[in-house]
Amino acid sequence: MTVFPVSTVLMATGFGLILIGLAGVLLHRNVLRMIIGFGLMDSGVAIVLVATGYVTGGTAPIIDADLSAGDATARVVDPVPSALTVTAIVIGLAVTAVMLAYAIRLYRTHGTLDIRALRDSRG
Amino acid sequence: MMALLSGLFQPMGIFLFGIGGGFLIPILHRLGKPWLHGGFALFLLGLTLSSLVPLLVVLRDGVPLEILTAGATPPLAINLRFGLAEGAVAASVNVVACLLAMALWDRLRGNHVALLLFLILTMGINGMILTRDAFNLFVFLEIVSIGTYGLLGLGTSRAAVQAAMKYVMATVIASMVFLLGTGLIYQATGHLNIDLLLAGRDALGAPIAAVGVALMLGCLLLELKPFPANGWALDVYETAPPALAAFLSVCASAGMIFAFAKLLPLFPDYLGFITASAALTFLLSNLIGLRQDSPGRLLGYSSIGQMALLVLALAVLTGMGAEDALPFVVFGLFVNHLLSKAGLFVLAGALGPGGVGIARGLGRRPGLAVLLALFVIAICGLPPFPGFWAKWDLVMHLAMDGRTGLIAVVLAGSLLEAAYLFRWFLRALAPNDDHAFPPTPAHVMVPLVALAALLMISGLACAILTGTATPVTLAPLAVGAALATLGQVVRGRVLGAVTLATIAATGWWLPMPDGIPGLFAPLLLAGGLVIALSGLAQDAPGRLQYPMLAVLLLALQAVLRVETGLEFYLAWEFVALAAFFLITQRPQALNPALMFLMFSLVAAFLLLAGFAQLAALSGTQVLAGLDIAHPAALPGLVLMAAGLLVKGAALGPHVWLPEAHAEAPGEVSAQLSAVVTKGAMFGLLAGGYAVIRAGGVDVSHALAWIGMATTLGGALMALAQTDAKRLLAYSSMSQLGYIVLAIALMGHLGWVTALYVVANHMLVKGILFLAVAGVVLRTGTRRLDGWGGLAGAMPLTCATVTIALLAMAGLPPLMGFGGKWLLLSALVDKGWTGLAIAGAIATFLGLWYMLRLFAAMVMGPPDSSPARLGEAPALLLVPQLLLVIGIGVMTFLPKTLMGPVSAAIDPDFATTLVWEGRSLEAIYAAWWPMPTMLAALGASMVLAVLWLAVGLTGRTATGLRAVLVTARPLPAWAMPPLAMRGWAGMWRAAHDAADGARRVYSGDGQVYLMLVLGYILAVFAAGQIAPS
Repeated sequence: MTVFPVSTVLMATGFGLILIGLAGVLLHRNVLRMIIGFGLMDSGVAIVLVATGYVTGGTAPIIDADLSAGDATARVVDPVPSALTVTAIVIGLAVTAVMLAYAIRLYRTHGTLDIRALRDSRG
Repeated sequence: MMALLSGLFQPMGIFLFGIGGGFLIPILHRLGKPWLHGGFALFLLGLTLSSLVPLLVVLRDGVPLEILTAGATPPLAINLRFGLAEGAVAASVNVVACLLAMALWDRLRGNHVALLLFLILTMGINGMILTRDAFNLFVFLEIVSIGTYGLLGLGTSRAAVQAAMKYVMATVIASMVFLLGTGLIYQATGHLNIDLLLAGRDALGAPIAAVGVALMLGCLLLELKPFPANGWALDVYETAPPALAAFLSVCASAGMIFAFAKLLPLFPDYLGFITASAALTFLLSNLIGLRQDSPGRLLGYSSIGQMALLVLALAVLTGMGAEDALPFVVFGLFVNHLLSKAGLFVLAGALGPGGVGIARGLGRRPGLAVLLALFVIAICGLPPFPGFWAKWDLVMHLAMDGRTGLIAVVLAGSLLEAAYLFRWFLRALAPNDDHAFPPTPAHVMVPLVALAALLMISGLACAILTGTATPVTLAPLAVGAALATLGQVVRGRVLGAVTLATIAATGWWLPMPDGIPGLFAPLLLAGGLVIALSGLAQDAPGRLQYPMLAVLLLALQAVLRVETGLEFYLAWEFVALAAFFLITQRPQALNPALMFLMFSLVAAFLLLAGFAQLAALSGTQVLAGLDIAHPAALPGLVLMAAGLLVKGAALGPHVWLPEAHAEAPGEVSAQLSAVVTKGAMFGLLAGGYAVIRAGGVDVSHALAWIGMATTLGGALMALAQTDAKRLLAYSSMSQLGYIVLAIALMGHLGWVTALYVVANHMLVKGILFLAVAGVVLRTGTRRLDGWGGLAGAMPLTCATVTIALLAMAGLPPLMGFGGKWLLLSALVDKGWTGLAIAGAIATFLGLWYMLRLFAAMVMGPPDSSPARLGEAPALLLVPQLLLVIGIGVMTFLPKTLMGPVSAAIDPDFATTLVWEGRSLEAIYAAWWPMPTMLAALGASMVLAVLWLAVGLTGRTATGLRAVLVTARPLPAWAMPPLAMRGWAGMWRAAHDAADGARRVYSGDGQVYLMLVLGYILAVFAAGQIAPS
């Protein structure tokens, strides 16, 4: 049996989540469901990013007694994608919050969350 | 001082003031409003100075400022760069952000969240400009996005909430795509430093990196709102508060466009796709703009178009390796859009609610009217603003690269943009006393005036940079501006007298050109001044009258004196704009004014396109370089000739002339018809001169037939008019046809004739329009059948009209005879018999319509009581008398004109003819076609008698006057308005096409998301197809 490295599994999961999220955004008419779709896409992108930094058999990038500075480049998982991902998660959170805020306002003004109802401007 | 400032304000200050200020604002909010407002102003100003001062340092030192962070060098840490490009864009954005914060003050005031977001957003834009790290770019992109999302909450209407939701969703997808792309590129390269990516871009062809590059590009393009994936942005432009829409449209987009420009070298395989997408967006957004009623949405379409133009310029210039042209073209277009679009959005708010189609009586608020005109002129790429120079340079480069299709797209899109923006301006100008303008508070007026001033300064800077800031080209604007300023203090006849004296003095002071321009210059200056004298008859001329008259006449003088294509185009556009504003003075003339401007722009764009082809061929932009003896020059020459013919009212595109000349104020009609039309004729002569000297291409026969068709068509249509001014307008068209015909002879005799008719027509049409202005003043009607029996009441007017009609009719002994004789003899001499016969018919038609005008004035019982009538005002009569003297001089002392004409035309021009500048009589005796001339006249007489007889017997005898004046000389079916129908059909077709294209904007947010996704897939596909 072929053993997939964790990064491959992560990549597949990440891209799978992105596609599921995208499907949610494009197929659901309810704004809240669409926002959940965006959340799934966000998570998917985060997983893909983390997966890009994975090194098979690598350890945490903390230089201490077990890991000398000389070995670091060969043995550690790339920390940069993780750092990027943390930033992206924070940003994703803020964006989701804004979207939810607008959804609330939308519901207050329109009494519906159907995206098809938002067609005052057109042409 | 500079050292202190540069120590205090460094690029990092942008982030310190932005983020630090952002954190402090909630605390200041607790302390009270004065603290909050003062703090915000301080932070925003500090941020702006942190870009302005370093910009000065970079300008002084010529070295970019490199900013390293975290004590490490890239790619280990993020670095920022503040070079000339970054500094110039960031500083412009920040200055405009300050102005827009002021304009948005009624929404920002007291709202600490909005103030915070505004500050952070501005900082984010700067970050996008300065950063050299791809992930950092993503972070700043998100800061800009989230700031935008928050500020969109300022719009509280139903539609605004909807628009914000759609905007958020679409841009979230775009940013996610960017993030994914960044991750993939990092995976492939191991770093995200933009400089290293650019240096190692050959390595980005590997599959993972290539996908990353495609995703990154997809996001950048999406943020620049390409067709059709831009519906989400349009809704926001429409519904957001105007100053906020302005901020998003110009400032936030600036960050995007800079990021795009920065990363563009990563996308060499995509240049074709980028160019095509931008061209499509520019064309379609301006097309759809035609169908917009909401000012915000209209400006949104215009903004999207302008962004596409920037993208197009970037892609094309990069593709052809003309990076050195990028700063001027792209930064010029950018600044132009930044300032003028910001101004337009804010102004749209200041005009009050209502669509772009409603009449607002904007004339009651001259300040706003001037600002609106100025911003519209700027955004349409007309002089003297930066967009004009940038567009010229862009078109020249496109021509060098052989991108004719793109030139057509750029010019067509610009034309459409001018159409809907000027239509908005003119509709707003239409009188309506019921429209209430909201008060324009100082916090709105100050930014507007500042934006206008910055536009003018940057326009002047462009003029200096391109070397076009010569006394000749600057004189019209300088004099116009001075007179407009003086007009605030002095009014009426005093200002008129000062204007005339200044024009005369400036015309005298400008260097006198040699050759053909040397003939036109004094002729048009003198003619223009004499006709302008009639303007003094008005008690209360419009505010625009005298400044614009000065611009008009002096720009016309500039057209005759310039040396390069750019200067010519500049002066040419000044003439068109000045004439346009003079026409708009009458409320009834607003629609004709729009038509006038549209056709003027068509003409100008044809000239530009043609010239660009020739300049690319010859490698020089000097006008003297136009004589290219090569078949490849034909398209360029034909385009230029077409432009001049549109402006010369050739049959077909002539429709603008009768409308504009008939509806313009009296003395403006005289000026346009007698003087301004000669500019196009000069162009044809000068261009033809170059062609002849170059040899080769011969299109003269076709040109001759165009001229003759115009003469015949104009005469027939003049005949069908019942309105005196329209009759004269069509008559002008007919006479212009004669001049074109004469020029087409491309020989010595033809050209002497052309110049002769130019002078003749100027004198005659000046008299006739002024005389008709006097008659209209007294009788109150332009209708021929409303006049009658004026010989007693207005003897002097009738006398001048008689002389003018005789002079024009080509009857001996007046000068028109000489012209006709010369023309017919030259035609026969050249063997163009068909044209000679057509010329004879045209002569007859000309006689007939002039007879109608004459009959309407002098014959029959007056409908209005002569007791009420009096002679025209002296100030209308004096110019007529002066022009009559001119006719006399040319009739009895022909040598005064013929001598210089002969001297001006190249002596070795036409070898078959010996021209000695003798008096007309001597020439008549020496040349045989005298019998032809007499035969033509005789035939005309016979025809006239026959026609009269038919007319008299065909109806109950109501007298000769009834036949001549009241009856329609031609049945309606014989004169179908084909040209008008054709153009109206085109106009409708454009509107229908716009309706078709805008169906894609259904308002459904999910459809918009699918289009966004589809666009990204298209980018990806383009990368797969493109040859690597």
